[in-house]
Amino acid sequence: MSLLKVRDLSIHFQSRQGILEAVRGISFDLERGQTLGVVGESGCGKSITNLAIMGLLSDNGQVHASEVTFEGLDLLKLREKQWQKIRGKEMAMIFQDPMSALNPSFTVGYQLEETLKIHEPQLTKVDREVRCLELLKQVGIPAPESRLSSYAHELSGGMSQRVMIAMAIACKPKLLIADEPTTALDVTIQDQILRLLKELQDAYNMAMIFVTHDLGVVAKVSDNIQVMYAGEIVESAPTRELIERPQHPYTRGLLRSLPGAKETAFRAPLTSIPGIVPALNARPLGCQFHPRCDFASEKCQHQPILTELRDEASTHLLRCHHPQEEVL
Amino acid sequence: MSLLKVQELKKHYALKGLLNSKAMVKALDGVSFEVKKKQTLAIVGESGCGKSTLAKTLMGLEEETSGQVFFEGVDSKALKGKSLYQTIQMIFQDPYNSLNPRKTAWKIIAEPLLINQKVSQKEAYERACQLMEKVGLRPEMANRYPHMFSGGQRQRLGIARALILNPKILICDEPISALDVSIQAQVLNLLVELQDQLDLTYLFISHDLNVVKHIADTVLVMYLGKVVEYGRREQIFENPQHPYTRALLEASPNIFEPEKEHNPLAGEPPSPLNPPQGCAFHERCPQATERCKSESPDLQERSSRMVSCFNLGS
Amino acid sequence: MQSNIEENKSDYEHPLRDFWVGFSANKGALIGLAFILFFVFLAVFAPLLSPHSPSELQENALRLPPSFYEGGNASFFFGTDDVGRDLLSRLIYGARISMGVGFLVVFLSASVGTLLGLMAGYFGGKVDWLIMRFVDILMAFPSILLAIVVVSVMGPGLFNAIVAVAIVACPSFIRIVRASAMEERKKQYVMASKTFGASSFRIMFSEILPNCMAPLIVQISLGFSDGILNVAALGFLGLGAQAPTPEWGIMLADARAFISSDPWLVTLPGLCILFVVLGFNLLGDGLRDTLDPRLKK
Repeated sequence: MSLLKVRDLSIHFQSRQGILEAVRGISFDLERGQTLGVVGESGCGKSITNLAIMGLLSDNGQVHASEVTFEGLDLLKLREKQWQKIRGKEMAMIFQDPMSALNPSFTVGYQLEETLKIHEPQLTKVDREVRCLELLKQVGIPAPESRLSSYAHELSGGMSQRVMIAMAIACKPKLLIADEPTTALDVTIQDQILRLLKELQDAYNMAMIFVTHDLGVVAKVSDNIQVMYAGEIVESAPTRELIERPQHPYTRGLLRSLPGAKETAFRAPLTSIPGIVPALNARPLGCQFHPRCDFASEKCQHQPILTELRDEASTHLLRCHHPQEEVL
Repeated sequence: MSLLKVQELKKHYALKGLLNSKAMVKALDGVSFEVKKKQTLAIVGESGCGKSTLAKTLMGLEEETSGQVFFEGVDSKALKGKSLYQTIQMIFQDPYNSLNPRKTAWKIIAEPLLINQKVSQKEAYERACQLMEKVGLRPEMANRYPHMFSGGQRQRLGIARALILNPKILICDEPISALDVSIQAQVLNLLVELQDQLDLTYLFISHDLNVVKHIADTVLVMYLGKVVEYGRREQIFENPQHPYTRALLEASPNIFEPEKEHNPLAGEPPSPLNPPQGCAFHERCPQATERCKSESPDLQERSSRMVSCFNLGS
Repeated sequence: MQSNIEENKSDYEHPLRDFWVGFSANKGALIGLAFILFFVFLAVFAPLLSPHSPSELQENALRLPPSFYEGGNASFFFGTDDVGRDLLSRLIYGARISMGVGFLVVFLSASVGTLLGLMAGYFGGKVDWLIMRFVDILMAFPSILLAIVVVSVMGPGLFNAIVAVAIVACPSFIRIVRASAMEERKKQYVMASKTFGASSFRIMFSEILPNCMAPLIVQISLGFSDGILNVAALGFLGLGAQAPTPEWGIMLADARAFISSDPWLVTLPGLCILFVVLGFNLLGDGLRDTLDPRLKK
């Protein structure tokens, strides 16, 4: 049984312009210990999907799905009380901006202990303190004893993110959702954090959903990559397969537009995708990408379905009428 | 002759700390480089390395503590005001807050012109429209406000504004890092095109080494206010010498190359308030020796680039 | 190069239209606006609307009750006061004075306050310190007491009262503009305008000020109500407008003696003040809800 199973998830928002469909038709499975990388541009719905999975969507966002189960538990039917038991314990989340995710008026030690208090009430105060120290050590914070009494503003970005990770893994969750966890960090610090997440994942056999706009980062950490466009999954495949043999014109466009490929000459024009992402209240009919697509045809007026490619050893899902098979 | 020559540029800030002891922050500590016309110099480094102070000092927004800047052989001090603005301009990182939300597109673009030259509103409008076309925006959009443009379009507005005084040098401060992936390539292409058309010289500040590799002729790697390695693009990328440069290259993700086996660089950049003795990098350096803890290495020419490290062999 | 032109954003709404959609959803603000428009209408067309001259004495009709009461006279709709002047006409002319007072107070305090607030917020450092200590001193006095001090120095009179109240109202403008100016100063567009040599004056007024307008407009609306209230209070204390000016505060004061025998003499000017002040407050709150981006849904 998959750890997380999502089927036909869609999220609607009530707004002044009417009902907006932010995300639709999201289906995927996540196995224990696996990392799913989710890539997409701003507004593609990647963050909202994860908030919905964590049950953290604001009141005006409505979630519909035929199935969202976590270890067989139906997440759609949970009440807030039940959510609180799962969140932080079974599944945890880390965010892009660790500085603002920590409460500025409490010490690191206090916030860490609070998490333990809620989810592991059987621990005594001494046990908790020992555990806090262990956690800080585990996430690679130097001089953890003195850090326990630090406030958020006394920590660098990298250190705050380590503290956030310590809080997230405090109860050894089975699923960690990381939403752009390294975007605000410097390259060498990003490298450290990515390494840390990998190590923790191996240690706890934790599944991870890693959301980012940076294809380079996602390729480093993920087993599978899901590419999202305008609230839909357009392509999904094992990491190397997706990078080496992408078939959706959007995925291909994204990859081609990146500088750094060996074949791209110095200062040569990069291939770019014309146009911009459609606004939620002005979605095109049919395939969401067709107005920007070089291969669009009559057929693309009809919404393509996310289907598994045949003759593939691995699971490669694609939502396109005109898959491009030629190697990039 | 170089278009831009910077010699031993220093910028120290005095901080009034506790007990009124005056701490000095050495944001720039003896930075030297030169750039030839139509070339691109990339300035690479992590936050706090002095990249933005360098940009501000060159733009005349901060007064240097010591050192000299020459534009085409003329000391920048002789160039104050108008002639400085017509030599060097800047593009900013954040396309959302670098444009005044209450001004229309053409006014934003024409502002430098209206301030520095005697032109009528009509002339300014026409110049702004020409530039909009040049950066790939339709002049019909001249009367729109910034929020009606997408991120990439806004960055184009910022580029047009920087170009209206016909500067020779553009400082590009992380010009594409705030943009969506599919838009980054468009803006990067535009910058290259404009450089060829207008014979521009770029100082390209970036943390993305893939972008730097794509666009820069020379690369300047900075660490805590100092230059640690400075050389031609091929030298830096194919044969990096300084351990910090090597660590940066290993750490920066490139999707097209399988990840190299490496150990992430330990630690974090030291605080400029409390820099370590000796080489600023020694605390994180895998090759540090006793000497690195007490002495600070000078920038020397090694393997046809400048590098500041004791442990390079000979 | 044309090929990579991005398409235009389609979800555009004109800022004014956007404002109106948000504003009109706020019932309180609409009611406030209606009150204000009503009193503005009275003020503008006072000579046409009022049945009598506000200073015309009716010797044989002292303290007549409103016409819908027993003993009322149809030609004096709200009755007459203790010296026989038509109350309705005086209230209508009073609207003129109150509106004018509100406008002058706001005009004076907002222009001085905005200038000082911009300077404090933009320059910071010593300038900020100096201006803010001045504000602290002003704020340390209870506002009406300070106004009384100012008026007693300058002598009583409507204009002096306006100046006094305007001085008292300055700090709130200074603070609000300073806070937004400090916020805006950090943004890159301010740095950008320095890179091509914009002067401090230009940056303050042409770059920063337009971006401080939202909280300023709210404060202007609230400033109207404070100004009207304070000037009326000074009038009531005999330090503001002098008789026979048909000012609501004085009318209230003059009618004090008849509060039990002829309650309408006190009630009606009091109600007028109440509705005008309420109107501006409701409008101000509504504007705050629509203009303040932090409160936007």
